[in-house]
Amino acid sequence: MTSTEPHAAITVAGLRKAFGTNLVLDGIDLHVPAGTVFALLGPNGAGKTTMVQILSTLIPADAGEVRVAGHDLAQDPDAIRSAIGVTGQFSAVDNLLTGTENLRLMADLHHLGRTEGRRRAAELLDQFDLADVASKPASTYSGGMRRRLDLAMTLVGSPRVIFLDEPTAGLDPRSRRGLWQIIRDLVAGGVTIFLTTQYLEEADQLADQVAVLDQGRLVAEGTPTDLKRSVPGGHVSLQLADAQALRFAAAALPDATTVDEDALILTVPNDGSLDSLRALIDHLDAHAIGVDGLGVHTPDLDEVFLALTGRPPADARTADMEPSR
Amino acid sequence: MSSLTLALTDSTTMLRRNLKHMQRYPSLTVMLIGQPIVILLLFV
Repeated sequence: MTSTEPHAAITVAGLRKAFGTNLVLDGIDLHVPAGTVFALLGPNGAGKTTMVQILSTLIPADAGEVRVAGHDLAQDPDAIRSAIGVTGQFSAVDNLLTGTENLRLMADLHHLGRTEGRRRAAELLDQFDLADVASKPASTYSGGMRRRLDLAMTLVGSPRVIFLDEPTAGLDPRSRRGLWQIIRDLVAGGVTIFLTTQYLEEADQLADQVAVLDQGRLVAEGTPTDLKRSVPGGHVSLQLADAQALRFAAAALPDATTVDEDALILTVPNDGSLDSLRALIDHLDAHAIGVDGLGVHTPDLDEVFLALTGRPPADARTADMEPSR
Repeated sequence: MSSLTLALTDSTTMLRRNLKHMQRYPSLTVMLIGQPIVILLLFV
């Protein structure tokens, strides 16, 4: 593969896209190094899918410079198409064909040749744990099997850059973890992954870089740890025995942020480190406050997401009326 | 491979898929053929 910038799988500068008067992407700049996982987060309708469609040459951009796998999007879209794989939100699996036939169809369309196509299909069926059901029609597959087959079909052409548009939407936790492991294995093999997702845990688990897209702009970019550090929110919640203990504890801990009289819970800001926890517990002991239970809450990407994509009330109301997927 | 052979190979691939579809989902094929015949009988 010839590439002018070997260390960048995807570079985007000043990307814009509007559908009529509706500006969907408003000057996006991105840089995804080869062999890494990049996660694009954002609420429904933020433009994530549009972004994937532009980068995978399905729809043209209005303005901006895009290079994928070393090729310019405007000048050489065919070279990009041969270097990428796309797994969209709506699966490309053919329900009337069996697992093997689906993979062989892809191999034929990639012109792999008869023997090579068969070998690749068998290899992928093994790799994705689909060998047992390979001869059953895809319409009988479960959601997780269908996703795995979809991803296997994407991999038939051995792409260098893979776009995954919400790969684990609607999967149970076990299948989701299985798919994450598959994605990690792919990255270990040198493939670059561009992922969009609603599940922040997924971005946290997989991504080297995360960007948050909201109303056509990137509102934050960085590693999951950077983003989590950017919002305050770490706290300890103390479960107390009765109302009297709660009042006493609230008086002893002046920095407590919320006092829940009904649930008898006191929330104290805390970064979750061992030292600060020990100091808190020593403080409780010194005041002889009996605590029934203690929960440590560290900021997660959910809070980052909610803090960054917060909107003024008028906007929020229209956002609520959008049909959910 | 020239673009003509490419077009022929890909057409064959898709034709094979379509034939499999017709074989496995015959009601669609029956409808597809039946509907024009019914309309022919009704109006001609």
